[in-house]
Amino acid sequence: MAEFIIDDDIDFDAYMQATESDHRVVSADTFIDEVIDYFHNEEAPKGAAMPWQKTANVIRFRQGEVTLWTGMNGHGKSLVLGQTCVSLVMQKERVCIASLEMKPKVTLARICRQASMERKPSTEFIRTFGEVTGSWMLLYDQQGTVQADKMIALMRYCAVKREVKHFVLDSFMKCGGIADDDYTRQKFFLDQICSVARDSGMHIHIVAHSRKAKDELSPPGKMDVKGSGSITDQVDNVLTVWRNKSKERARDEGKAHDESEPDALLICDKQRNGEWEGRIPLWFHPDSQQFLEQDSAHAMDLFRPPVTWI
Amino acid sequence: MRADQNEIVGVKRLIAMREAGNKPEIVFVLMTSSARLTRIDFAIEPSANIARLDFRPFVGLNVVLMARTAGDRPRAAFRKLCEVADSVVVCFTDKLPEGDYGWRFVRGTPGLRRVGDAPGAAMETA
Repeated sequence: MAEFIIDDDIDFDAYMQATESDHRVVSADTFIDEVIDYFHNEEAPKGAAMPWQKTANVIRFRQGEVTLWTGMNGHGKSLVLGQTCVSLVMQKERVCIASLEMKPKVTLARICRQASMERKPSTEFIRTFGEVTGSWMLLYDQQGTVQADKMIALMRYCAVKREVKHFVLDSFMKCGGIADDDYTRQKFFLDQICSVARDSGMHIHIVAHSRKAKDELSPPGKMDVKGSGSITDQVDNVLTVWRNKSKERARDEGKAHDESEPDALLICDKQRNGEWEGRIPLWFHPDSQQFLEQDSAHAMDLFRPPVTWI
Repeated sequence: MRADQNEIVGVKRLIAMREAGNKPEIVFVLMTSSARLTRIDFAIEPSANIARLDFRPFVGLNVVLMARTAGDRPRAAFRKLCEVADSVVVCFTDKLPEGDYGWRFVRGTPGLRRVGDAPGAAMETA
């Protein structure tokens, strides 16, 4: 069909700004069908799922929300998130990863290793991985500090132009111009992130480190997130990844330990629009760097989604 | 589209076009799902909450709204479009063989006009 595009005779920006409040303030009855769905329609969309069966009914990444991923340095936040990104792609949810602490090549190699289920994926598998992820997984080719306003613009671009459904910022503190103790600017930056999520429907995942603790043997909570205390207040969901270092140490030193104890915990400390909060035990598969939902010698096939996602 | 992302499918392209100072001479809004859309086609998914949809990007445009059958949802979408568009024609595809298949609104003229080939189709209505 031919398209006829002509000059616009309306000041579109001015019109949209002038009518914004009128559009946003709506009567309660507008939402009644959605409220009925909320209580009675089990088919109603629940959000994207994580890779594990046991998280499918308790943790979901709903559109327009912000999830904070926290945990101590080296406890596997990025690995759990990488594994989750593969599962999001398999649900046809386009992902963009802005990993400011790692080269895109390394970020992708780690995710590819998880998807391959082995230590060193074959060339053939890597090509298949490329085909499967294709345009569904985007990477922001930038390392080091990025100005906060540039990051906000990037998020908006990804949502609008690239139809990204999940944006991963790893990590929050790498967004420049904001000092560790500049709580006011951190709050403002996160407020902007929440606005982008809410306005665009994109789910934004933010990685933030926990404060240095006396030891790593007990899991940190949402109060231990580095930076402003308001960070956890502003976001919709808080997930903490904690590795069971005492079990690892005992195993490494050949001491007695309980293999049934999990290698890691995924702790949901907050879920604004979901009822569940609690701990998901996970077991680490060293070759693939995957986290499994049970102690197993075999990694998960991330390309085969469980039926509970539907 | 999911109900919690309540938006007219494809509208972001229209917003980008208009922010760049351009507009299509005519657009088509289809009340359907899984539509293959061109730059001037937009879709309202069956799960969308019409009352919450933002029709403002259609301000000043000539719009053809197509739905399979008449009903509350096309009526609500038609009313919302009439608030912003210069003209709106609503067509019901199930009625096409009958020759009298919809209604037309033109800003600045009173009432609605029937659309179609049947006798009296262009009759002015209240």
